Formats: sequence, structure tokens, C-alpha cells
Amino acid sequence: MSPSGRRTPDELLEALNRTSASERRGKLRIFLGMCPGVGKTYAMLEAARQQLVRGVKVVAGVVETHGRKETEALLEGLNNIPKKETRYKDTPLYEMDLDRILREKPDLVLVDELAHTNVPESRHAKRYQDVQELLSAGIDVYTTVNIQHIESRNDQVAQITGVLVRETVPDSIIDNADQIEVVDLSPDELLQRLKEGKVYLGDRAARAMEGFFKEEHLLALRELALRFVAEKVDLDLHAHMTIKGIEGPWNTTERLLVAVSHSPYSARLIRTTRRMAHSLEAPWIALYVNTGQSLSKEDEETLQKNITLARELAAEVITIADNDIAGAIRKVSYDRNVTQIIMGRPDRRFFRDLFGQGSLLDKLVRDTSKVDVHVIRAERKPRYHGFALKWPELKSGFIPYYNTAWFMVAVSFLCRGLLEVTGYRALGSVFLLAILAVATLSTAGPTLFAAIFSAVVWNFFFIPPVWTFTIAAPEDFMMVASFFVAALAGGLLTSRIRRQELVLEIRESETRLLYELVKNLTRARDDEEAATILSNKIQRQFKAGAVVLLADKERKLRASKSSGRQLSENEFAVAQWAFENGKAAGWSTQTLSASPCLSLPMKGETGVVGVVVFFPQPSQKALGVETENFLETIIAQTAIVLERLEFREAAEATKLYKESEKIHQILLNSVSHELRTPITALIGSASALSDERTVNDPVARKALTQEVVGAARRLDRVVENLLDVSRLEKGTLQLKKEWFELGELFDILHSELRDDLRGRIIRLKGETSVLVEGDFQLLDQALTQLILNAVKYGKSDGQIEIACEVHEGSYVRIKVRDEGPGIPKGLEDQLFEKFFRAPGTPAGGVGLGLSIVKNIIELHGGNVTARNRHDVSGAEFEIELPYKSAPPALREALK
Amino acid sequence: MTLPKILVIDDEPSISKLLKHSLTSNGFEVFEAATGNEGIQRMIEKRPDLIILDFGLPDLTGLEVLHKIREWSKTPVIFLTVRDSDEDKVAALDGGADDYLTKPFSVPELLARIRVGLRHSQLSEDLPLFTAGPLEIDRSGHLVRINGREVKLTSTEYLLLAVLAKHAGKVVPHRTILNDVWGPNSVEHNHYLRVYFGQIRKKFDAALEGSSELITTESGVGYRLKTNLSD
Repeated sequence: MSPSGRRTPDELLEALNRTSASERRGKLRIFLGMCPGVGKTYAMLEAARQQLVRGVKVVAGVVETHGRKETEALLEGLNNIPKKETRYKDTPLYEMDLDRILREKPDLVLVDELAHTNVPESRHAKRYQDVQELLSAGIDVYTTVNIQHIESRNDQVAQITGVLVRETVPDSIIDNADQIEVVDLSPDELLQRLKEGKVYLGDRAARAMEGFFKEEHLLALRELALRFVAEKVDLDLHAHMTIKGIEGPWNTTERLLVAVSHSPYSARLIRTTRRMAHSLEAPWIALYVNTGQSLSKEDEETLQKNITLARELAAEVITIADNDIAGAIRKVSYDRNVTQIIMGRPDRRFFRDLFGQGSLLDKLVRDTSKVDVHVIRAERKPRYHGFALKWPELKSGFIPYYNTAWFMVAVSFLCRGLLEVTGYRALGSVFLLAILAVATLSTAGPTLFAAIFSAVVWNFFFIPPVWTFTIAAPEDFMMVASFFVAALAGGLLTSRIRRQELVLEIRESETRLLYELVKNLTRARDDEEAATILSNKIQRQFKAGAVVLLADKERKLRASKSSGRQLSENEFAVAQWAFENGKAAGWSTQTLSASPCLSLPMKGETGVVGVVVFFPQPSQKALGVETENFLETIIAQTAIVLERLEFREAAEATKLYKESEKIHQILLNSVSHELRTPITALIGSASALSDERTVNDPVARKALTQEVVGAARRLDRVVENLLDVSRLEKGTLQLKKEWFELGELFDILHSELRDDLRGRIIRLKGETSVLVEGDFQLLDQALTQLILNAVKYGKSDGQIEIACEVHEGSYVRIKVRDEGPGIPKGLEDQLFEKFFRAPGTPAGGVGLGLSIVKNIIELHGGNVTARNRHDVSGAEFEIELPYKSAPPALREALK
Repeated sequence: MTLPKILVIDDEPSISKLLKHSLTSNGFEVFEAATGNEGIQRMIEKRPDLIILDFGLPDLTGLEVLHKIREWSKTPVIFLTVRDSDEDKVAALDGGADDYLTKPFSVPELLARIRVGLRHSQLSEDLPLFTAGPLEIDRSGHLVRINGREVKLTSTEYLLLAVLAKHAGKVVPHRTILNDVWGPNSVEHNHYLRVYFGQIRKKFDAALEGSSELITTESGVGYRLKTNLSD
């Protein structure tokens, strides 16, 4: 938000989106309780009945009555959709029948227990995902949930009651609910009901729940629930005020940041940050710094869980590769204007704090002065490691150690060989070299191992007294000691360098790939090409199959032509779901996870433009964080490119349309004028002929009849002209080529234009007996146009001349000359443009004639130029056609 | 004496009217039909001597009507078509039509074509002597005379002229000309026809000491030898 506190356009848009999106989506109404037994289901049913009375089509998707008669009574009259039976390992299991509800398309559906986990083999892993799908389909939903199930409050409830509830609902679902109400009950009343046996706890939960139902717990939970709803109301108020443009006490130059790691403690930090961000109404960032450290499988999973948690809690997740965590945090904070950093209490380590730069906290506090640093209280006391050193990663697997051992054994034997030559002291250097060799080729662990091994071997086998671990000479002792320290240092430094290298490699390869991808994408000429580029890149990068599905104009998915693999019906269905719902589905997701492939929707600015179907290696269980990030980025890039291509097409189509509109307009104007003149003559003459006296006068009759025929012919010519223009423009005109003598053309012209010439003479000069190949009719048309122009624009008593020049082997030239004012200077080229009329020319004419001539001549491979004559005042139009010598068969026949 | 019967199949009322009036005043009995099917029915009923068929009918294409007519009748058919439909014209002529007129046409032209069409093919082939205005073709001697004066034609030119004379007054499609003069596989000469006929025309003009206008070029379709019944 801008510093002045006003809403930025983005925010306004977001608020509007929230409101308008909810118009298309179904509305979600949540009945929130502080714990089981307060009567949420009952309240939901009551509200549903009210709707039923109003005529709303209500169905009960899943309603848990727990056998209570009052609740069951409320269900009457509501269409209860029976549960769908699925079989899992021969056991029948029952779950809400999502597809049936979608088919029935009710106005409102009741879904109890939002946090419920679905049975395996269901489409979605969690019921709240089912609810999301229902909402996307435009169906309203009423649902119930307890405060302990809400993700961001989950740990607080655990703190209060000591009971950790594992089924949670992400806050984003709750945030986007249209209505949320607390079904409130005072703790006294609830305990009373409990005593009366009116509260259903579930058999196995009974004892655990005893911890739940202490009065002080209930009070705290109640407060938690009420506060939660109050916060939500506040948020809604904010949204409302944003839309109405009401100025309010916006708070927001704040931005929070929390570093995410593979530590289980991270989850708590994330939730805390969310609460803080929420109450500050500020955006927050969850940052993962990839230091190149390789993680164990459990750690990797925990990390993944933490990142997913952050995402679900609506953080902006950023991943960055850097060795220096503090440095990375500092950079991101600076770039993104972070104002508060949240972190946990660090453990204390003696050496690091004294000699090193200190803990992460120390570093941050020292370097980032513009940022608040919040240290969150720990669950356990920080450990004091005292003199312990932080061991570098020693787990490298067995093989490097194995190889190192053998290598060192070999080196030892070498030393044995060198002993006589160099003496035992110099052997230290040999060992040192060996250790450095190991350090360069391996990681810290084997290096350390090599160092210890060397020290031991050297001591035991070489340093007197030999065969013992004692060292006689003090200088020898110092030698070994310093040797050992050097070896250690070497090993540790190497591992650090290796890590840095790794990080740089990751970063570099990411950047390079992204750069290549973007470079290729920008060159894509159509969506097929872009899709191919993307699928190739994915295949090469991840050595996994990828199929790109594009959405066509009717929003239907089709495989791009280049995709090698055909999708099975199931795979296509998963992709279809991902496309329609805009969410990832399939392998490694929560939806349709049994599928062997992962469908990722390609989201551009305007919506989902396609789906990428990713086929992982059979051995893979999940995408790593890096991979996920990368996939997301390149898919987003491609989506944008696809959109851009679409926009470009649309823009071009619009441009063409506008241009043709313009031409239509001009055409209409000039054509109607052109047509009107002969029509006037027609009507005039014909109507005159209907007069008794005129029709009986032979002279008048003859004159008028001729006039009618003449006008009609002129009309015909205008129409033909127009048709010609459209044919020539379309470019579909094909020349009907034949050989003919130029002279014949002129003869035909002469007879055709007899009337138009009105007695004017055309002088023919040059070699008219030359044989030419071309479209007779079109050339007739072209020359007719030029001659008519000469008649129109030349002096009325001036001479018109047609001259032919033949240059064997190169060209044939036909020049049409007139005597008259000639062509205005500078307009010689423009004359041939469509609709061009030289200023000052007599009215009449569409302005297309010369452009038609140009088209025709150019179709013949020639060109036409206009210029003024040198000898007298007048214009000269020159047609130049490439010379063609007559084929022998023709020449034969002419003999 | 009964007047020759002409059947006009055209869906445009203004053209129908024009044809009816001008043909009637020129001594023909005219029947009209506005659709292809109607036309065929009318043909069966009235047995006309000549049919004028418009190609832009609403129910059947001109070709379809032509085929139906030709299924059991040799009645001469003149069809009306628009400019720039050369392929259609050639197809129609191949399909059995005798001649055509391009819209807009003039009535004198129409009358000339009708007269040619009605002439019961006086097998111009059988007669040893063929005349058309100043032109005389002596088939036995392969001689051509204009106004009595001999005109020297090459053998190719003679053959070309002979083909036109065989169908005097009617348009002869390119293919027919090529077939008759050079045989069925001589496609390339198609492009040279205009030159050949141009040469013939020049010779006629020289002999007449003026413009002969005996041979007309029907661009894109074929050639026609005008008989003296035309203007």
C-alpha cells in the first residue's frame, strides 16, 4: 500500500475480486463452535430449514446426527444424499457422495465437520477440498467446524487443553467464508449437557476429551473462538471499506518475514507469524534459504510440510539459494521492504558466539538496523552446547569412507617405502598431501576420517617409538598436533567450499534454465510452439515425461500436436479437473492422489490457459521444494507467453477489422457516388421515354435509348471494377495465361472503346507484332483504364499515343501518352495507391483504377510507372513486362 | 405455321419479363418456368424447340437441370450466366449445352444465338461448300475465299477454321478445337490458340481491307464463327 495510506489499485482490485468472485462461487456459511457439543449441527439444520421454507433447494450432503432425536427431526424434509460406498481392502467405507451432489446441482448443501479427513480412494484427501469444489461449482454450502481445527489456532488450543488435534482446516478456507457465526454456549451449560449425556464424543475420543472439558479450558476456548470471529469481522470490514473507498486507519507499511527450515519448531514460528501478520493486517513472507546442505529424508519432508503450511496460511513463499542465511534474510528484507523478522531463540554455542559472528540472531540484529526482530518464546529451553562444536555434515554415505580407507592404506604403504629415503618426519607432508587430495575430492566426513587415520598411522607405525601411540620427542608431538589441526582445518574449509559451490551451481543452473526457457518462449510464434518448448524443457530438466494440454476457444482441453504421449482417459480426467478448478491434482497432491501423473494448471493473468501433465520417475515419491518452485516458475512463464500470443492474435484481428471497416466506409462513399451518375441518366432517359410525345418522336427516341444503353453499360463497368478490386485484393486471382500478338490487343481495345473515345484518335507506334504471354482480359482491362484516364484527364482535343518498345531478352514496354496538364509534381508514385485522387481532379471515379492496373501488371511480373512527358505537356504511363521468347512449338505452327 | 416454341427457365421476374416481351415480338411463342423442376415439367408438357436456361436457379444447379434435360432430349439449350465463370461455362458446354450468353446481354445478341440454335444442324459437315457472309470454305479443295478472293491459310489455320465452321454460329470450346485439330493429348496448344486465330483474323482483315469480325474470341471458353444471321 502506498505510504499515504490509500488503497493501491491492486488492493482495490483484490477487494473487488473477493466480492465479485463470491458472486460466481457458492457462498460458504460456517457454524463455528468452541468445542464439540455446543450444538453446531443443530444450528446449521435450523438455518437450512429457514432456507427450505423460502424455496431454496437444500440437500444434506453429510450431516452427523449421532443418533440424537432432536437433530434427526430437523433433517426431515431435506433431501438426504446417501453416502457413497467405497471399498478399501475389502472393508466398505462410506463417504459423502460429491459427484452426485454436483450432478444434482442444488442451491445449498449441508456439509458437517469441515475438518474431516476423507477415506482413501476419495477424490480429495480432505472434506474441505470437497467443499471448495462445491463452491466452485456455484453451490452454497453450510458447514460446521470447531476452533481447534483451525490451522492458525491449532497450537494455541493444544497449549490450552493439552490435547493436540491433528485434523486441521487451513485458514484460507475460513477467511473466504461469506458468513461465519459462533454457536455459543456458556461453559456451565455445556458441562450440564455433558452430564446429561447429550454430547457425543466418539468412543475412542472419550477419555482424551476429558482433558478438554475442564471449565477453565472451556472459558479459554470460548474466548479464542469469539476473538477469531471478531478478527474475521474486522477483516470483512476492511474489505468493505476498501470497496466503498472509505478511508480508514490502514495499517500497512508493515511486512513480516519468517525463515522456514526443516526444524519442526519452524511450524510454530510460521503460525505465530501468521497471527501477527493477521492482526497487523500486513502481508508476510515465508523464506526458505537453501544453503546447499543435503537433508535427510525426514528433514526434507518436514521442510516440505512447513512450506506447505506457510502457503496454506497465505504467506508469500520465497526460496533463495545462499550459503549465508543471515545474508539471504538481509537481502530479501531489503528488497521487499520487510519491517519485522520473526525468529526463534537460538541455541548458544560457545566458540561460535565468541569467535565467530555469533548466532543467526546476533548477525541479524547487527546487520539489519531498519528491521524489528522478534524472538519468539521457545517451547523448551535453549540448549547450551558449551564447548561442543557444530559438526559439519558427516553423513556422506558409506562408499566415500570405504574408498578413502583404501586410499589411505595405499598411501601408508607408500610412506613405508619412502621411510628410508626421507625419514619419518617428512612423511607428514605426504600424509598431508593425501588428506588434501581427499578433501578436494570428497566431503568433510571422509576428510576428517583421513586426517585421523593418517595421524594414527603415522604415530603408530612411523614415529618413534614405533608400534606405540606414544611420541618420544616433543618436537614430534608438536608436529603431529599441528599436522592434525591443519588436516582438520583443511577438511572443514573444503566442506564449506563444496557447499558454496553447490549453492552457486544450483543458482546458476536455475538462472540459466530460466533464461533459456524465456529466450525460447519469446521466439515462439504460436501456442503450439510454446507448448513444445515447455514440454521439452521439462523433459530434459527432470528426465520425466511431460504433456502440455492447451485450452482452445471453447475452453476445452486438447493435447498439443507435438506431445509424444497419449493420455489415458483417467489421466485426462485428472487434467480436466485441474483445469476447471485451477489447482494441482494427481500424484503428490491432496486430490486424486492415486493417479500416476501430476496435473499442474497453467495460470496466466486472465485465468487458466492450459494444463501441464507431469509424469514423474516411478521411484520418486514427491517433488522436492526446488523442483516444485522451478516447475511453478516455468509454467507460469509459459502461461504468460501463451496469453500474450492470444492477445497478439486478438489485437491483429482487431486491427484488420478496423482497417477493413475503414475501407468499407470509403468504398461505400465513393461507390454510391459512382453509381448514382449513370443511374440518374438511366432513370432520366427511361422516364422521358415513357412520355407519349417523346416516345413517338423517332429522333428523341433514338437518342434517349442510346443514352439508356450507354448509362447502363457504364454502370456495368463500375460494378465490374468493384468486383475486380475485391478479387485482386483477395489474392486468389489466377492469371489465365495465353500467348497473343500485342496488335490484337490494341485492335480489341479500339473496337471496345469506340464510344468512349468519342472520335478521339489513338496513334499506335512501334512493333505491335510482338508475341506476349499474359492474361488477355486483365491486360485489356489495364490498358482500358489507362486509355480512359488519358481521355478524361488529357486535353479534349489532344492526341493519345500508344507506343510499343521491345528489347529482346529483357522487356516489352507499352507507353500510353496523352497531351494535357500532366501529373502534379511529386505524386507520381502516390497515384497508384488505392482510393487516391489527385487534388483538383474532376469529380467522379472511385480512385481505384490505377491501383487495379498496378496489381494486374505486378501479377504479370512487371511494373507500371507514371511520369510527365519531356516533349510536350502531358502524362506518360509506362507498363513494363518481362520479355519472353515464344516457345518453339508456337513458332513452328506459325510458319 | 406454328411459331417456334421457346421455354425460358429463369427465377428473376425482370429478366423473364424482358425475354418474354422481346422474344414474343420477334415471332416466338414463349413459355416460362421459375424453378428447375418446374422447367423440366414444362419441357415435358410443351416440347419446346429451344430452351433458355438461367444458371442461378433456386432449387437445382444449372448443370443439374441441363443433365436432366439431356437425359432424354436433344433440344438446343442456351444458358445465361455471369461474367468470370469460365469454368462453369466450359462445364455447361461439356454437359450438353449448345451456347451461352453472359449477363448483362443485349437482345440482338440473344436473338442471333437463338437463330443459330434453332437451325437444325444442317450438317455443315456434309455440304462441300460453306458460306457465312463474305467467307467461303471449299471443303473439297481445302480452299478459303473472302469475297471471292483466295486467302492462303496454313494447314493448321485451315483446320481451326474448319472446326469453327462445323459449329458455325455456336461457341466452340477450347477442348473441342484442340481435340479436332491436334488430338486429345495436346494441352499446350491451348495457350497458343489466340495467336493462331489472330493470324487468321489478320489475313481476313487484309483480304477484306477492313475489319472482318468474323471470328469472335469468347475469352476463357472458346471461339465462335459468326454467321450472317448475326449483327
